[in-house]
Amino acid sequence: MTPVVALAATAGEARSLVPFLSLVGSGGRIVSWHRRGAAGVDAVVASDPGMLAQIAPALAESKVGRGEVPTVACRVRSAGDFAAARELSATVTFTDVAELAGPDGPLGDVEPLLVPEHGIDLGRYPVIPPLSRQRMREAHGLPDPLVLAVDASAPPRSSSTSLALASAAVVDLALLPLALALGTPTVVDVDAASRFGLTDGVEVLVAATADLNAADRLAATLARDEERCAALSRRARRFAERHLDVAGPASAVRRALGLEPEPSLIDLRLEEVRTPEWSRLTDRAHHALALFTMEPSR
Amino acid sequence: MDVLVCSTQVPFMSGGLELMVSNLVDALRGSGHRAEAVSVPAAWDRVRLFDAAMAWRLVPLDAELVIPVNFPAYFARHHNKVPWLAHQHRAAYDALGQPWSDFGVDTASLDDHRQLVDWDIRALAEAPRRYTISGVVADRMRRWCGLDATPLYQPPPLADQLKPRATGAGDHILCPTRLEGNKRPGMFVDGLAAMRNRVPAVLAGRGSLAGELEAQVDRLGLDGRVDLPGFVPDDDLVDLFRRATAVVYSPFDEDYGFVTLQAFLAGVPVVTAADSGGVLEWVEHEVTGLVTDGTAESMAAALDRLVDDPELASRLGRAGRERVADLSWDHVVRTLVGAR
Repeated sequence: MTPVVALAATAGEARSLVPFLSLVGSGGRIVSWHRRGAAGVDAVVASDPGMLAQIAPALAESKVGRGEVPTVACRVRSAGDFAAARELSATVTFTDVAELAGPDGPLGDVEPLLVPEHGIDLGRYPVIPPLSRQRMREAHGLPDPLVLAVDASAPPRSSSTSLALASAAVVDLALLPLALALGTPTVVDVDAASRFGLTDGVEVLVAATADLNAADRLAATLARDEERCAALSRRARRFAERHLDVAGPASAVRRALGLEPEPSLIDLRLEEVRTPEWSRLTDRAHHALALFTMEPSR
Repeated sequence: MDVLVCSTQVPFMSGGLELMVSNLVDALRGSGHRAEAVSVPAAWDRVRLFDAAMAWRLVPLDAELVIPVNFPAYFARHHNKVPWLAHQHRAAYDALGQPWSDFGVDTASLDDHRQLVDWDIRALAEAPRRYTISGVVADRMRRWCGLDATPLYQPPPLADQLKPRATGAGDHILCPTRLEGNKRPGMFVDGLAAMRNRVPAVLAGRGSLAGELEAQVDRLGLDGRVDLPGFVPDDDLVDLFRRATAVVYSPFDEDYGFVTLQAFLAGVPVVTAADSGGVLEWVEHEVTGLVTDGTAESMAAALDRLVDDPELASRLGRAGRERVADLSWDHVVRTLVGAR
């Protein structure tokens, strides 16, 4: 049966939740709580504890859909929100406030899960390490090294292709999450680095001046330095995984809401090394398991 | 401490790595640790390449310390994983483009290559400390994975038996190596043919190129001067090292190269090539040996020089022996277990 996920949000907040909701509700139907009420809903995503408090009575009375009270994911933005959401029996909490999230945060709890505001679906964008970029350039007959300046004026598909193939790239603020996700050795300006909390020489190189030619020269120098490119690429991706990923939290929320089964041991191990769900290796592992479980392989 | 030394082995193939594992386990036990070698079978063809990696991810490893030594043993999942790497999967790194690498530039190869490099980075990054058998292997990891590692050198096999001869010049030139393409034994034969001095030579070892090399020796008129004994027992090999004027060892981009260290322990200089990788961490031109450009002419010139000048050969050999004097398994064990 196709699961139904309802969004319970004020008009002002609904828009900001749509990207995350589309991941949480993928494979299911997404509806508005206001139109459907609780009928037939399997899970609810609430924009804040206030909204959760409003719908709580209806939730408690609702035993439709799967014959159970719908599970609830609630966004929180403060320690008070977190406590309130817990009090209202939220199944799982998430936040876009980085300082609040994770076991190292002030709450010392696994929750709330971090769903960053400028997040990116890392499941769609596997990292491409510099050596693999070199092979891809060779395959496509592109020059080596390939140094590019990529900004948001380019069509989205063109940007991702460029950032996937570049030896090094000068990137603007809008495309920085994508560059970090793809592990592109990247040069940014001071403002972009500062906004994302990036450190010069760790995840990116920061051009000291606004002079674009200086940034280009820095990228050209970077492209010839294999060791530095490899290190920047690795750390850029880790930064994206820790601070920008929305796919991982979405999957965790889906599991908490009962929309996705708990992963098998082999799935957990594949996840640990960030193996894409669509990869040949994931299929191969599932096929091997299917031989034992007598279930059809994927 | 309970220590597991983890390696991956293609069944029925055995070489330097298996020897290294055995020596490390012995050394750990000799230092009072409980140590076992753990191996998972692997296949190096691209389609099955990841299977052993996944297996390592799943097997329980109940020990206080896990030491993986090769790809993909470092996919082992353990809180105290300290790799001491002989090599990563070379076909995907330094050997890209070589005839024996099955990573092409087709879409499937590119996908697998991307996945392999990413997996490698993640699995190796899990380790709190990383060591490699040589600077070359550490450099590759730094260049392609963006990860630091420290070279940790080991004594070669037969280290306790290899000693310099008491007096006199050597009576032959020795090249002990597996007879495989990456070891370039043909370079040795070509060099001998171009020499002015008609010195006897021994090309010791087995491998897929044996027949081809015999034909090369015949073709170059070296029959009767070059001995191809195949496998040589340890005692005989020690004697061959002891009596050698020079040892030739010129593989392509070698990871480490026990042969170099064995020659040095026997007080014999090594002639190598400028692209021989880890060998060059030990062979310093005109200090512990001679570095050539790999052509027959330069190889021959280097060998003629050592034959013509026994004092030079002796001086380089002595310097080589001093260079390897401090290598010990005790140091390797103390470093890997994290003892001060």
